[in-house]
Amino acid sequence: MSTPAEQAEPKAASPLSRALKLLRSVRFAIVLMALIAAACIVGTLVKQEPYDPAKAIAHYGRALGLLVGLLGLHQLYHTWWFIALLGLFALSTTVCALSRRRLRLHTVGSSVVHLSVLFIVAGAIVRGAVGVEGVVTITEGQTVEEFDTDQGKLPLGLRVRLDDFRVTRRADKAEVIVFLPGEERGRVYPAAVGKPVTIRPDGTTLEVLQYLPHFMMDGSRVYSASDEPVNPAIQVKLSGPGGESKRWLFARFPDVHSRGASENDPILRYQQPVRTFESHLTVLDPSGAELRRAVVLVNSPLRVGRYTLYQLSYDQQTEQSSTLEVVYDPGVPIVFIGFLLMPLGIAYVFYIQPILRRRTVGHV
Amino acid sequence: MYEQFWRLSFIVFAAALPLSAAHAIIRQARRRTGGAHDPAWLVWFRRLANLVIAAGFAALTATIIARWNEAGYPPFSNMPESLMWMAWGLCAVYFVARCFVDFSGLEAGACVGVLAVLAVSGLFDHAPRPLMPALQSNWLIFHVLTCMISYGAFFAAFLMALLWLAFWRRRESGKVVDALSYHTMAFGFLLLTVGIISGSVWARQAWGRYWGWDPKETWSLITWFVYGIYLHYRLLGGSRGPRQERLPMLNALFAVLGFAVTLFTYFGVSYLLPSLHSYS
Repeated sequence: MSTPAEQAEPKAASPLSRALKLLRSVRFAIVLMALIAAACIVGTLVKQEPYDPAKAIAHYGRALGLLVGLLGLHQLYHTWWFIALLGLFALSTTVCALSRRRLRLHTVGSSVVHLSVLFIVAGAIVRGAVGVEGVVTITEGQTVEEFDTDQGKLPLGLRVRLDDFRVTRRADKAEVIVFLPGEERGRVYPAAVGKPVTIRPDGTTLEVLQYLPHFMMDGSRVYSASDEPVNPAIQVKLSGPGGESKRWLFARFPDVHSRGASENDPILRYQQPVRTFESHLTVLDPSGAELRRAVVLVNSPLRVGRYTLYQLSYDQQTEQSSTLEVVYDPGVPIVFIGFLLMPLGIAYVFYIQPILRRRTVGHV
Repeated sequence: MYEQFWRLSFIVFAAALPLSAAHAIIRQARRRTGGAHDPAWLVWFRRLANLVIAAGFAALTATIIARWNEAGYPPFSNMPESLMWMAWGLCAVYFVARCFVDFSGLEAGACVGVLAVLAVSGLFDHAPRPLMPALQSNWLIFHVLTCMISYGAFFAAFLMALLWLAFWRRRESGKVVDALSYHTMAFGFLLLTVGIISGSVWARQAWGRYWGWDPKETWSLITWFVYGIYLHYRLLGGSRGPRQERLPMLNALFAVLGFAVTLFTYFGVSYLLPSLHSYS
């Protein structure tokens, strides 16, 4: 039974009801999805960086370069119109989910999917409104109590000390990367001593002559000061139609000797793949009392007060300072509810609803 | 053992292809001359083709196990490894589809698909490389597996679209092809959703944000929207939507468009656009 108000709806459709009708229409949803997808494509083609008119005009031409600045295509995902499109999409899915007058078991799936979009967008809005994101770089032995954000420095609430920073490498999986002239992508060869490999169609071979874990030089004498991988280095020999040449390559200093004497020589880099890099931290309260010790790795963050610290990067030259990402995002639980509802809803629509519908039809 | 099994998979599928193709051609020829039912020998011929495909599937599974064993890490981290899963996913989708429908050429399509994936995989360097720190997570297996099986399903829908455009359009019931193609894309869409979400949860754990508009993330969202548009467009009824007899053509068009976008997400982003996912 419909109410009198609903019966009157077709005769005098108010702007609100017309807007709601538009928002819940499938056609409108399709147009929105197509627009968002098209905007996303543009966003991946235009480099996302701060706008520099001269650079943009030089790169895209005058008209396109100005258009990039005018529409904010250089930071497309943060422009008002793109956020409005996403907001409209969330509104449309919500109206669609709530517009069913009666929830039935064999139709509830699509409402769940549509509501999940609302959760995801709502969580993102919370992040945008009250979330904080920044970085902090700490050197071994140093204690920090604030971090850098786009809006300047913010206090961490607690103090964090970097006791030790460790990088572990896979010496057994060391490799030489060969960049042939004119090629941007290097080819990877295992850095195994005494096993020459052909690196060019003209028969040029690359051979690792010796490996020194702790390279040292005393006058013209080269030796390893210890068996620890303090300064891993290899000596390589290139043999080809043009003759022979030898170079020392260093894992810690990849640019040293990477280029040969001639432009035609390949660029060589020696690397021992990083297994892990980890920050050994101590968390202290503002008075300096030790609260806890913890290790932060990629994929293993640490909660410090309201913030979470993520292992971001490190100083590759000294390997003694660590850069951590500092994040406060209370929107995450809301987003994750959406993440849970969406696949459950889709699976329900495709695989449970047809069974329920068949049963309902069977009863009729 | 990995290389031997990889080669064996290729050889077995290459053997299954002429068998499957011969079956499809004979069956179609008989249908054209009025033979509505398959004689026993043709049924057995088809069983033989499927047996060879099953052997190929077993060889692919053995390839994956050998790789896992030899590399010392879950084989989900680079192009040849992910392609291996795509071939496996495609074959699995074929076996599921085969339970529900009976089309000439379905076996041949599956063989062409798997062989194409393996051939592309042959272009890459297969040497195992240790997992970089960002990839050392239990999410790796779940994320890559769901994404690659969804790509496999989209590839299967694409192959069906080609077969439909080339052969089935005039000869076999459009409705059944439509249903099969729809279910394959719907299955791919569900797995792509799970794949994107698992990647997102993982990104939150590794980098502190669940979404960063990285090109790979963005293109996976574009792919999701393309299939989302398709699934919604089918819902449009009456004069505004597609007419029932046009649905198979709509399926075919979206299967082709969707797979083109999937391919760009998979290969194009890795090689043409700078991305945090450049290793995959």
